[in-house]
Amino acid sequence: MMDLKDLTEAIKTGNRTQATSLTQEALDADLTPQSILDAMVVGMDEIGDKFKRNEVFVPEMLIAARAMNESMAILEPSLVKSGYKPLATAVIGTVQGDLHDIGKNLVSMMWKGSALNVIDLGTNVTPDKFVAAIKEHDAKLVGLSALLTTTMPSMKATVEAIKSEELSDVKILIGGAPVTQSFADQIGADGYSPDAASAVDSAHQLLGIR
Amino acid sequence: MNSLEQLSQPNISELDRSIFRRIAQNYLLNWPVGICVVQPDGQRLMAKNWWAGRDSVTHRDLLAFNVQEGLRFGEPTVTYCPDKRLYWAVPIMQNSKVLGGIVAGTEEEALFPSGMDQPPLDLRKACCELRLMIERENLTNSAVLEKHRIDTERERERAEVLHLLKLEDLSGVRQLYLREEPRLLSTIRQGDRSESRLIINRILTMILHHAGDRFELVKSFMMELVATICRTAVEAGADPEEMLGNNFQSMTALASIRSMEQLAPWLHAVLERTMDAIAAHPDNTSSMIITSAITFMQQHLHEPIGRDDVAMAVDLSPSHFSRLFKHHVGQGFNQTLVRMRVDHAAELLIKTRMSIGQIAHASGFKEQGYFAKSFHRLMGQSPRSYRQHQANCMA
Repeated sequence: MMDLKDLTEAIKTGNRTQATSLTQEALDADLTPQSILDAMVVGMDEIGDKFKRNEVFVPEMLIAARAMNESMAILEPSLVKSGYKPLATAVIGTVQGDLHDIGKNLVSMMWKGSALNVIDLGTNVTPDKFVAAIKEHDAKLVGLSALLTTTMPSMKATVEAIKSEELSDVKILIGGAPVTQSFADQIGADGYSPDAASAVDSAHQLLGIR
Repeated sequence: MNSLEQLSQPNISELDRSIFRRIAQNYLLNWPVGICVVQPDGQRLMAKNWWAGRDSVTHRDLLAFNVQEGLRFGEPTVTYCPDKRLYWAVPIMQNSKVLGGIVAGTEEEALFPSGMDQPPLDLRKACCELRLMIERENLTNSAVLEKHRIDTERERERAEVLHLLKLEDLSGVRQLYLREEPRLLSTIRQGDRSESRLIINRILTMILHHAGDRFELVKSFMMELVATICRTAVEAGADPEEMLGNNFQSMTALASIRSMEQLAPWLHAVLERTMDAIAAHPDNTSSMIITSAITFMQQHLHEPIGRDDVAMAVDLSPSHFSRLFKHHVGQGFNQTLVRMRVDHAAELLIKTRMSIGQIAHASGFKEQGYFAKSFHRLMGQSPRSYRQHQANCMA
């Protein structure tokens, strides 16, 4: 029987060629989609923890997330067929006035790997667009990202727009270089995450998953 | 076997007419052109569908030039001639010797066979087909041409990256690095590798954002980052020869890196090695002095400090301090001080309700007029409108 440890390792080291072919092999060997997903998530968690502890650099995290994403694309049809349902839908985007997307992309990929259905709205997203996407996809979580100090007010405006729509069961998680916990408290966000790996824990916590 | 090798004395004038006729016939089926065989000096030998009359010396030179260009780039390149014709050529070779070439040419008008608004003739395809035909007839040295094509491609890539680098605003990344450098250095020195990586990750995030999907540009930025960190290491007391050796090896390895998957472990190894080199030399060096100077400036921003005060605070002569400061920070002392004061003022404008005059004073500006002028120059708007704008955004 095929050992899924190799898949975990391929994800962790960001070897996407190997990760995708091992995913396919695992499917061909009739392993359950859930067990394949679990193996991937372990790899992603391990690199995520290292990133959280500042043991690795951004490109290492980026290639692991890419390997995960491409392997997920192969696994997804089988996952869906097997009756797998994402735990919740999350909407994510960089707030209006900000075009930075590295951090947001990382969080987006990590969320996808942690059983969330992620709607990525891209960069420079207006408050209205966030609100519309939450309604359209019945999202339970919103991730707001900003890299510039000057776009932090947009974050506040977005939080206010979401709150004013009385979408009360939607949790808002914010993050990005200039953002702090006290800023999150100040603008009324439900949570703050200092890095991509913590964003998974925070998301699950806010959604009451773990 | 090379068709020319059948000849006892390889000479282009003895090129089998039937071979040329075959090439010409096939080529003319697809393209509205004239085609001829020329000697290395551009003298025409055989032709099909070519223009009547003798070629002038200039014309001959041009045809010869086309053959040379075809060899240089490994594929035909189109030359526009003042007689409103376009030419492209493939060299006829035996081993590395150029015996002449086959030139194709067309009138400028033929470029748009279906009218000016319609797509033009695919000259690139025409060039490529001519080369393939001649290669199939074994009349040229396809290995040499391929090598030249690869070289050209590499040069082109390099030129494109250089061009992109010129267009890119590198100063943002460089300034961020310079701002972070003192802290990076001190965290490495204190053995706080985790904090050091966090700082480098901030710089890397900015690099990756700037470069986007352009991988060659990512590489160039990384090269710049590694070179800068190596310089920091040398200034911090690392052995220059050792650093140069490491640096050289790393850069050589970087050249063959083609994907982010290869780049990530490379970068990890280089950065860790460089940080080791810095950590191994806990001497008090210029970088540490500048770190202290910047800290002193931050603590005394509201006071009327000048270069001499800061130089005295770090025990250096004012002139030596100035040189060291500029070399290290990349801009002069006064310029940096004003920048720091304006940044401080901007923060106060957003976070406090202090009046503009109070803020100018608290940021160390003696005159409000000079404050307003400096603020406008660096932030692109007056302090008042800056505050208003930020307040509107918050609202």
